[in-house]
Amino acid sequence: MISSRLQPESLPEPEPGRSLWQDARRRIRQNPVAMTSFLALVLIGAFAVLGPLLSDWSSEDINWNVLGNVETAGRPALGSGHYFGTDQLGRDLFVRTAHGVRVSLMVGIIGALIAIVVGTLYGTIAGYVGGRTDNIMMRTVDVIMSIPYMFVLIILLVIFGQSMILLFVGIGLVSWLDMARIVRGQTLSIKNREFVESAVVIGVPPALIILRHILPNLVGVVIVYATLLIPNMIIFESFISFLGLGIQEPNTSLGVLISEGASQMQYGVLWQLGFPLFFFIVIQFGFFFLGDGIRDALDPKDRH
Amino acid sequence: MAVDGASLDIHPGEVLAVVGESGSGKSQTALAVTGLLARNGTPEGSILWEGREILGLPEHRLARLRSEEIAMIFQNPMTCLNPYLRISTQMIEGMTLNRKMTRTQARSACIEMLETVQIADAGNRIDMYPHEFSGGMLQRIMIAMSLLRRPRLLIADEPTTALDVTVQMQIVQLLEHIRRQYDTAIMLITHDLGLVASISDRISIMYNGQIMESGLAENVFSRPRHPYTRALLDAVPRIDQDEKILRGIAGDPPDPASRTPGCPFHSRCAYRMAPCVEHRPDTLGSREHAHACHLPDET
Amino acid sequence: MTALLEVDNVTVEFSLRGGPVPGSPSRDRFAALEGVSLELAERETLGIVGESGSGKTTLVRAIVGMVPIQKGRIVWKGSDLSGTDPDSRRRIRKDMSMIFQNPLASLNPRMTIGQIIAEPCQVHEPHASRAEIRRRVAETMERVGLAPALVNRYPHEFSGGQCQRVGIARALIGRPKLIICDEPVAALDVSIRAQIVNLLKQLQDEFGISLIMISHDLSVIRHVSHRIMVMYLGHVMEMLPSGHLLQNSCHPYTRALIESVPIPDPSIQKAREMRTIKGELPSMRNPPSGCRFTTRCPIARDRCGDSRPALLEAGPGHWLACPYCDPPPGLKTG
Repeated sequence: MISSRLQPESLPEPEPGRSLWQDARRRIRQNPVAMTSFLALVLIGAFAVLGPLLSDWSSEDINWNVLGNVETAGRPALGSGHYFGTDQLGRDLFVRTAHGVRVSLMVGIIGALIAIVVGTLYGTIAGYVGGRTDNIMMRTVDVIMSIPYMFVLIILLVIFGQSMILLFVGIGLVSWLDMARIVRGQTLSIKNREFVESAVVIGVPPALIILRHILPNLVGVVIVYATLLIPNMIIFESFISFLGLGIQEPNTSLGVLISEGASQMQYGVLWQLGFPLFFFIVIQFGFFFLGDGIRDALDPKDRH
Repeated sequence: MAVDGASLDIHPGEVLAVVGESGSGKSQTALAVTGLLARNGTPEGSILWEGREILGLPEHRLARLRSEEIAMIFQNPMTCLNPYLRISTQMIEGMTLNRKMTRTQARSACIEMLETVQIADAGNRIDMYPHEFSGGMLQRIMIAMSLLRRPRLLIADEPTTALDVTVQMQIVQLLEHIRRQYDTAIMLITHDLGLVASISDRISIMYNGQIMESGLAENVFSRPRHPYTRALLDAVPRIDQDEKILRGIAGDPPDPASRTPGCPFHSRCAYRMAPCVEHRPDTLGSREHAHACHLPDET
Repeated sequence: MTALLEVDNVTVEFSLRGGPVPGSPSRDRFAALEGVSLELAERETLGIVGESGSGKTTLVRAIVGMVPIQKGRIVWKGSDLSGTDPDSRRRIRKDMSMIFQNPLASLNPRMTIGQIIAEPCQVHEPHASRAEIRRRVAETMERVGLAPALVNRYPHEFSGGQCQRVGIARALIGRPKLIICDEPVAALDVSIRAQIVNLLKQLQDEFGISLIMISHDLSVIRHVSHRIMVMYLGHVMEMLPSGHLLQNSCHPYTRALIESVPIPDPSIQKAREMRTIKGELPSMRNPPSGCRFTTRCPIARDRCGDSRPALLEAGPGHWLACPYCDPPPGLKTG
């Protein structure tokens, strides 16, 4: 305040501010668990994309030398080129795991993206408009939620045949519901904050209020929830695939691989279960810890 | 460091007001007295209770001291009561645990205490839930609860800040009445100089964790010695005077985490001299009136 | 003198169940504000005093158009606000702005100070160039005592007093005719309050703004306002020039408010007769009939509960809604 008297006529160079995002980024860098998880997820992502390039095999090639003698010849070994061993059909498990990770991550991320776009839009509108609109919109969510979607999806898959598209439709249908509820709740509380009131008094149009004042303050919650949603979606897909209704041969996913590995457990080929399961678990933990870290970073007061 | 070298003393039946702005360390001082400081707080120095050192006492001894001799009431009574339990349940709980009383005895003692804090129809109202009372009523109930154990010291942390102005004075009168009836010492923590003037015998003015000026209320108000105290008194509008302009204190209160080697007020002080930046002034004077300032005393 | 703002017999009702008022049956409604009138001249400061639930906040929200009114009119420079088309209403909105109680909460934490202060400009003057807006933001910041170099900082990097200055800058940048201040200093430290109060007074003199100042603190209100309006449970109890408050105010509620403001001087305060009024505010949803202060009034009579006492002129500029009170003996001062 005193310094303002000393300012010359021309505008001084503005001092840089420290936004809440920068604060959060600094805090998360200091969180070893979150950073380890993040690194693990990056490595797994790189493995899913680049892994197949490191191997001479493709995910569909069958190594006929191994077939019939998987317990010994199909063991994981650097010499044979099957780093993770082979599956019961003599296909390279390293490449197939990379492939499965890619499909599973894609399912999870697409599910989360649908949730972010549809859920956030739906939730903010319901919350901001309020009144009867809010009532109708949220009761619709309740109705959709009360449908035993897993059951319906299984029937659909059985009737219309198993397809990736149907699976995505199924995931898309359910993933945004919780997000919409969470976002609506947040919107209701942000709506009553004084800075939104002041925007209303100024005469800022409603669309701009949502865009400028409400959405930016929701982003934190949305990101946190989305990181926790991705592993849920992966579990969802794995479950469907485990039942044999999801991703179809020769395409694969972590759920398919785990299902196949589990069925071969008693034949001494535990690596067929072990490798996919390892990636599955690391991905799950990675996203959970990362989501937790982001939450702490965005809201440091919560944990003290 | 939120509080730095603060010294206070309080006698039975005395009302000591600890005055300060937000971040001045006034609440931290009170918490140190009860040993309730957060885990990252480590008090140093000495706290004497009836001549005995209590700093460093084991937790169970402190807990007994807290439960039997020192009581505390807070700014927002609603958050101190469990909304799902009747007032009677919450009041009687402590009595039967500590004092081996029967429930009937405890209940009648509670009703009596509620009548002391002027809650009409206490016999019936004791069975109501917290949300059925107004803020002022709840603060009375909190006072009644804290008095059940006949504490020697009552620490009141901004007890009227959340209340309406017409109710504020009722609570002040109640505190005054309690002090007289039970000879309870009251440590009143507040930022409101008017409130201080209404009830306190002695005052300690805190700023950035240090005591700037202390003494008998009459002395501090009528002959303020520290520039901060004077500035504070000039900054408050008074209902009984027509002042043309208020003289605000320039600048902002310092960050509670920061410390200067000198006087904490030097950056906002109108009488700043060279030593103020470098050396912390000694506290000079007596229990009746003392202050910590380099400025030569003119009163 | 034509009034800048005229509030004429305004009633605001809320529904008990939170639904819209027009649709709900009358037994499910309560009036947060009932038959309130006031006039505000240019360059005038009107202070509105009352405790929680007095309707003071509802009144200013009705003025800025945040809550709909059920009865009465709000007239701005001669034109009825409820009758005008949305376009001219938006133009009028530009002439009014508001300052809020909680300085930090009233600033969007994700926006820089510069963006926050510029927002009214962007909304009301879509054709202003970015350079022009930037210049005006810097100018306004300077005017309220903020260094323009801080323009890219975020609210959480500021102290309470500085945040309130940002709020004032935002209210000021559109050059309004009226600024409504809702408890502008209640959340600030004592040493900062005077800064903000003085700043508001300076800006009023400089730009010829009218102010409506809401507070529960009579000593602040008396210091800043030309006239004072005392509200209780949605009714106006008394309205008078602030210079007459101590000597001429007469309504028992006004007197109770004055007496419950402690004087920061123990030699005076401890000698004062402490006549606190009994009880607490009744619920807004179930207010007493007749004069709403009856249940706590020291001079209440049987007839007080029958009908609402009219607000009558008791002296020049002095309006009073109590037929029984006597002029006070004057405040005892040391």
